[in-house]
Amino acid sequence: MIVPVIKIVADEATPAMREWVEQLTPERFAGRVGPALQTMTMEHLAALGPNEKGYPSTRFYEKFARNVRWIPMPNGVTIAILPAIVSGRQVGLALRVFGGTIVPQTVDMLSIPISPVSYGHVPSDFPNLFLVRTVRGAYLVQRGEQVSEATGRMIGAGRGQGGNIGRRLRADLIFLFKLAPSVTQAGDRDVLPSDDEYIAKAIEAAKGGVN
Amino acid sequence: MLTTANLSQLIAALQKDGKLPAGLTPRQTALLQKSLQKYSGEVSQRLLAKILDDFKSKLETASSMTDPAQLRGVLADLGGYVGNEDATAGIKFALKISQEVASGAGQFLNQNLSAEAVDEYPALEFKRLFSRNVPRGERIGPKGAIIEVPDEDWPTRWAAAGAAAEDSDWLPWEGDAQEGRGVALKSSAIWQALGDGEGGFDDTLGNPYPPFAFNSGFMTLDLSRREAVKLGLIGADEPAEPAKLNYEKIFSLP
Repeated sequence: MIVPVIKIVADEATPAMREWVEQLTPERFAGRVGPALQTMTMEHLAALGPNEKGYPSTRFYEKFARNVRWIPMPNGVTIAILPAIVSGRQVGLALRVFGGTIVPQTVDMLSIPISPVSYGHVPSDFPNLFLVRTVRGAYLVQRGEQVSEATGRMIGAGRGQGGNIGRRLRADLIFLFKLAPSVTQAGDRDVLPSDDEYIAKAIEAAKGGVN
Repeated sequence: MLTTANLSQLIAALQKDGKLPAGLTPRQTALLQKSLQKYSGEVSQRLLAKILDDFKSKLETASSMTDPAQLRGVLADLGGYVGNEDATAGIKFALKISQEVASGAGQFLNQNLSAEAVDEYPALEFKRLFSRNVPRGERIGPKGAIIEVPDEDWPTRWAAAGAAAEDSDWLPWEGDAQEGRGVALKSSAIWQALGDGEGGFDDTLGNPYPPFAFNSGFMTLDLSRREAVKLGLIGADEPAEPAKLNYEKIFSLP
């Protein structure tokens, strides 16, 4: 029986690996991995499409993509997504990712935009809103077309637009907001890269120092 | 600084004295305060201070007036802050820009404050991250047709900024105007030149970080040493330098 014998004449790998590990201080690790994870998160958020209803974009995810930061930690690195101002309110991304129930803090009811006209706006952005109660609930409504006091001509937000939006805006009444005591939003984990993607990117970046 | 809290007190006092008879209704006051509260960041605070100083100045002018005709003129100006859609949109736009500038400043610090991160990622790539309906370098022509305006696109601006930077720490633009990119070391003067609108561009914001101009969808992303070496921007063992931070300018406003 022949037993293979391997003789190590010169071990260059072990010292090199040891040196690489010793160089990888917590600060070095964070500086190497943090920016890579930050870039991946920003690109992921930037690639998320516009709202599912096809309303005019409010650049919701762009606001958060601009606020991605990496923060060095004693045992690694944290990716933080700072709150952004959306429709006049400071909001975080956690509700969109993990879901939850929103309840009004300073008023009695929440106003939910239900029109491409009101999407991305708050009721105070619209003059002359009035309340309409129906069997389906309460709505803030605006007249579709009005007569200008100055010119006597018909004015309205939807003039000149075709298609369903135009028809809707030329209606007698525009239903802009639905009032609700609370809203429960389902979470969407796909808003952020997956844990596996973060780990794979971190490993790839950490290996960046090995030539 | 005049805060929103004492602003409402001041308005109430002037209304009680009959010096603001019908110029500012409670709803208009609430609208103003709401607009001002839309952003509470450091940059925006400075912007709000400017707006409020201007507002306060007009209020003081109004409070010392006795001529009803003159008073109506000043009140019309005051009403412009809250009752005029164009003015409200202007304030909103300014606040939106200041929010983006604050975000850009935060990212700029994130890219430059850690010596290890600068060493690992000594360069930045400047490329489109956010889409725009009408990007720079294009405009809408008759019947909605897209017309190219190459003199205003980012590659043109990049070349002009590089020429003004007077260093060799940047590379010529790669690819086309919308999908391509500009690459430079973090320490290059091209970033400040880009923000200063070198080449005669007057829509820039004066900062060495994005957004370099109004409504820009271009961002800077860290570029690794390995790629920077491959591109010939820096040597494998060459020390990397961070951007030169000017703390007085870092939160500059448009």
